[in-house]
Amino acid sequence: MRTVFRYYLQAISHALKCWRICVLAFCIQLALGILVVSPLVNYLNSIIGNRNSLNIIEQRFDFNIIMDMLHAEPSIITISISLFMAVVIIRLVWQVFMCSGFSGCVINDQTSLSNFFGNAVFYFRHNLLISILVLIFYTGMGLLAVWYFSLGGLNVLHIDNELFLIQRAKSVIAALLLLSIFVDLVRDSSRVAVKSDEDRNSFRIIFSCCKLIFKGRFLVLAILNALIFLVLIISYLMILKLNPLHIEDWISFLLIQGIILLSLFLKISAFGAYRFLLSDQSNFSSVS
Amino acid sequence: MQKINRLEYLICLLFLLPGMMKAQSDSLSEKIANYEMHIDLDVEQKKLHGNTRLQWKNNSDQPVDELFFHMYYNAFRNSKSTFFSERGVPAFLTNNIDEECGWAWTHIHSFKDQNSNELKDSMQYVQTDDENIHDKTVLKIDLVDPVGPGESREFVFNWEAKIPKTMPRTGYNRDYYFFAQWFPKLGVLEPAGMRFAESTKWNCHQYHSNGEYYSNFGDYEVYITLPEDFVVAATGELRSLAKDSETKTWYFDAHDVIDFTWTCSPHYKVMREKYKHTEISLYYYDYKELFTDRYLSTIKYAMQFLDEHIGSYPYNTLSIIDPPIHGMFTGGMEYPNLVTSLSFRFFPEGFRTPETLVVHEYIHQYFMQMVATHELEEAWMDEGITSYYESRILDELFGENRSTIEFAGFKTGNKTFNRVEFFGMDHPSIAPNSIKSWEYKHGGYGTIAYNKAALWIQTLEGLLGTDMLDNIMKSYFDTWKFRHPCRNDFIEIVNTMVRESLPEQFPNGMDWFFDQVLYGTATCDYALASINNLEQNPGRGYYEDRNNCEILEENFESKYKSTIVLHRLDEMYFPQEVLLKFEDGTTQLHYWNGESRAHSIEVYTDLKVISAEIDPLRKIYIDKNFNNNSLCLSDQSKALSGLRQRILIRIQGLLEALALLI
Repeated sequence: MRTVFRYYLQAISHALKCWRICVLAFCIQLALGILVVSPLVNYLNSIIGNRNSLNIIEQRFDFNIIMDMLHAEPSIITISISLFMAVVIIRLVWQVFMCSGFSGCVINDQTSLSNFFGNAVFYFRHNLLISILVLIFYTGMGLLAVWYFSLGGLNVLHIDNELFLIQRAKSVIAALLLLSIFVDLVRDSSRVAVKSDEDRNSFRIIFSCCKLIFKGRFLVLAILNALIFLVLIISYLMILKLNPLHIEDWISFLLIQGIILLSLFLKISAFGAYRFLLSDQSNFSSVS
Repeated sequence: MQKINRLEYLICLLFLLPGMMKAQSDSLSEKIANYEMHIDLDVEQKKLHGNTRLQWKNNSDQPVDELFFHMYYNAFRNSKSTFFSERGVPAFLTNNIDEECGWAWTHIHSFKDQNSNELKDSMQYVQTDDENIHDKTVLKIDLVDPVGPGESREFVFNWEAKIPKTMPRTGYNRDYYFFAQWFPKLGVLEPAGMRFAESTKWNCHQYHSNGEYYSNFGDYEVYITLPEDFVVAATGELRSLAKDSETKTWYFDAHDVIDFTWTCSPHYKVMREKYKHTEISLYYYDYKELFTDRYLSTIKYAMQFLDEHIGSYPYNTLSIIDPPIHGMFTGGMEYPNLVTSLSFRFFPEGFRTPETLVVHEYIHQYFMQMVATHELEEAWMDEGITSYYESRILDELFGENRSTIEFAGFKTGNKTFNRVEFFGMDHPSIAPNSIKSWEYKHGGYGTIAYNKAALWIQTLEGLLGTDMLDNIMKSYFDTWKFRHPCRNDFIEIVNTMVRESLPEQFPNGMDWFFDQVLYGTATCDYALASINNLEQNPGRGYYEDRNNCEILEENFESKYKSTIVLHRLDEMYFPQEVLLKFEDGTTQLHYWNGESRAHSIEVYTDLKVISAEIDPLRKIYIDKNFNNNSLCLSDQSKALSGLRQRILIRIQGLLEALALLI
């Protein structure tokens, strides 16, 4: 375990050297968020920009105001959803591109922006395949969860009481969370398990990395990563929740941006730690 | 039985007389139809065997030679009954019913008058509202001896019913049983002058999908025999519980009620509490124990509220039923002394469904059970008034913006929910409140009878003031409790009290209001169109002398002339308050009768008007768009920027969460 922490600290130190990359990635993600928000806010401005409703809704959630806006301009829902979906697709492609760049920099021990873009292009196909496989896997698991949840039918007239549904929901969520730790382990290690430029047989790499879930150090690292991201998510939710306690909006905004930036550093650190562990493995050659 | 001699009898009578006289004077209602019923529940065959002794009084000035009975369970006889033709039968329900043929019926085997004349042969099913021959929910019986005006008559009949499987409001599923609108029940003879009756006639509608029941007040003595492990909850008070080999007979006694309803299950747990003289009994399944505190604390709050604002609840019992999930179609209903709610273990605590339902159904104890309006003909009189009080009680108890849902940052209050529901309709003008329940053929029954009516009563409160409305409702309750008013009776009370108390504001009463909200289908939308602050300058140009351009010497008392333009966009009109805010933060309240299509307010001051708002306190709650009620000239960029940041961090969070997946 001590080795894992040592490697993780080394990885953080490398991630800090990649600060330009992180800031760039952060700016692009912020821009994507603004892309969704701007039309929505412009719409709000056109409907209630010069009305008292704006002040009210800025202070507290008022369902009357929201619904009156939607009745006045119902098309905004369709437009917002379409825009959001388009940005989600762009964001997901960016995620693959960004991970390719991050992992490439970790593999080749590079830190500059030009290296980031070069690696992102070079490793894109490999990372895209990993992401698609992960997506397919999660979809399959999701369908399996739905099947399990609705086992025996969900017709309320046939149900004795709803406790077993709650039990099922809890077990499905717990199983998916647990599974996500293993998936993350395989996914992140596969991204950095490329040994050389010539050797990029993605399927073989992924298959080899699947075996890592049985290795203690990798499991410890996966759990550590999961815990760190859990802390970030909790912090995010807490800042959202703290808003009603009159924390200034701009402070909340900056704190959230800090969390997002931190998550990017930690992503590179996670890749770095996996890379160190893989390098340390006597059977690394067989993995890659 | 031991015999008593005449002297002992007289002594007994002497002691009992004051009590009997008191009992007589304690009678709350006219008691037109009184039932004594002996019921056997056959859990194997899913049947009820009933023996009914009905004592009925002809309260009209005409002899009556026919009786009309509701045969409610025949609504579930087949899928072509009026009930199902109007509603349609969802597949998940029919599949469930077909599994063990859960369709139902009621049949009277024999019907005798007090002279033992068998009237069975004169019985015939009639359709009082439509021509649907498949509907057998109204039974007409011709009498051999007409019942004279003011006469009472006794009838005895044996009947049998097959219990439906999980139909709306009633039926069984597994070993849960709920019996509502379940026994052959006499319609209401309306003498000339009662409600809308121009001549004496029976009021006995078929069982429609929308709308519930309308009955005379009376006493019920009901003996229910069923397997010994069952627990029974019912209208009235439990008088005795007799055990016999493998069965038990529960005897319930209810006075001055319009119906009798009961439920049974071997799994019921009971929790009891007291509010004043009333014993509150909560019947629930074991796994729902965590809702008990929520139910009991809420109901006690509602009881106290209505006690203070309307009048006292005179009955000694109130049963609250929280049905199991497989009996959910019986949830959210109101019967005398017994209400059903609904709760789900998977709902977070912030979803206040149990509280909302229990409060709503309890208010019905007043509006429909005691003030016994006709739910089918004038649904708004119980559902609308009830929904209005539901908002008042829940908003007061939990907070105006969070009384319905408070979960994960999303909040909405009950009053808001009514408004959102009504204006969420595709066409809120589809029908008025004044039509009968089954006439909402093109939809809108729920939203118009419940939500729209609650909205305009809320608006009435805004116009008259809360105290005034409370006085009106108290007077309405006192005047009409244990009787059967119609809308004219309600309007008359409003008009009389408004003319007396607010003669300057509403000298002609409130007919103009009811014409719009009750009989009309128009909507209401006021908008603040513009604010214009003009600096007052002396006149310039040619005045006295054509050859000399001059600047007039004028002195103005104020620097600005501000003009605020108001629009009425929809057809409904109400008097409006308009609040003006000036540069220094001071305010001025103006009044507009709200009748014209456009109106302007002109003010002369040294300060600019920076914002104006029509109806700032949202008194006219039926206004369909609050957003256009105001206009601000001041810079609002800070508010907009705050909103932008809040939305942005949520969108970022969502995008990051999705990205985590791959």
